Amino acid sequence: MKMHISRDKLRRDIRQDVGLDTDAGIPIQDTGMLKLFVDSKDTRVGEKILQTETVELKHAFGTLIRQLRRERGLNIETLAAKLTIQVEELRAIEHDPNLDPRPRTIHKLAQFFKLPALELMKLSGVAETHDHSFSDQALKFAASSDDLSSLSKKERAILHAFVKFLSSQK
Amino acid sequence: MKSLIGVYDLFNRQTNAYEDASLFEGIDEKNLQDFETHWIPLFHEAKPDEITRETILAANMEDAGWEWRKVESDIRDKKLLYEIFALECAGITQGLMLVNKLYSGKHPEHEGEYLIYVELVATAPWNRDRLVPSPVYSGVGRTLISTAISLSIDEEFKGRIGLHSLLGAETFYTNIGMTDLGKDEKKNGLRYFEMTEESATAFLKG
Repeated sequence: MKMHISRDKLRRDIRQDVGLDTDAGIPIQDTGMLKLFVDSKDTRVGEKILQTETVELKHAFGTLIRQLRRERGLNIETLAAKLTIQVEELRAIEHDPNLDPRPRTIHKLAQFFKLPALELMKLSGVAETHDHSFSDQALKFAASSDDLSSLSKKERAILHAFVKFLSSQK
Repeated sequence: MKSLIGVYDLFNRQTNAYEDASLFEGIDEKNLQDFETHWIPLFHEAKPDEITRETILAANMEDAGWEWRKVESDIRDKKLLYEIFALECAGITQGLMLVNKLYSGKHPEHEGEYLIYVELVATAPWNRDRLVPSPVYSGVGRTLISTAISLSIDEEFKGRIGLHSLLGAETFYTNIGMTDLGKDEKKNGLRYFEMTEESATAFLKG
């Protein structure tokens, strides 16, 4: 990264801070986001299993985004333009379960499709989850969906049920 | 991975002279060792006889329980979300900062827009006025906050940052142009501050 302040300015300004406290941040045990991460005892369960599950969740994530896009009658190029992201990135999100999507892109998708960003982050593998009911629902959704050019009535019902489940998560 | 961003200055209050300070993106074992072998013992030394929230606050030790080793381990694979910075001077870690790169602003001027949220920013205990009789370096907090603002620009968040100030640091954050958005009861009653794009520009260039 690049600093956007000159060394001279910083050097001058720090003289104003003599005697002032500058510490910030809540105690670490209260940072909710960090609690989402796997702690060390969980990782001992089996890294390979976790990796497999993450790939499957990402598959569900790609399927979800693809179906929500199709439901709105949007092609990849149009949705990418609406989200101001690269077409290649959106295409990879939909089809490449090994991709690590950018958190900002996930937030844009969450805003556009009116879904909770945190749940999308879990689904996309950016934030990890060990909530088995969450994983089960996501995997069932992915398994029940195929890639037809337009959504069947059944696919639409499954999609809506999964969106409802995601939105109900805290 | 730890990489050097650049060399800046800290002001040594005991010698009245500036000293070179190296700013790093990422931390390594050296920084964690510094925290555990130099910071923690000083926190213990300054520990009040009676441990209450009030006495800990008064001693400016509220962050003494931050487990930087655990933080570093937790975020190691989450570089898209988090970043840690370290500031070293005189061969030792003088400050550490953890930022979250995905946070929505609350300020009316940019409500819902992304900003860099400073999860933790801490200066070494020997630089703290309320903790030691003769603090050493000044400028750690400003240098790290400048880093957060710079990262915000790099991330296309236009310099917007947010943080929960520890008690006693509110004056600094007000002085640098951040807006006090009031007490956040969900976060131990700490006051929540945000910097707007305009304030960030003034901070960097003014």
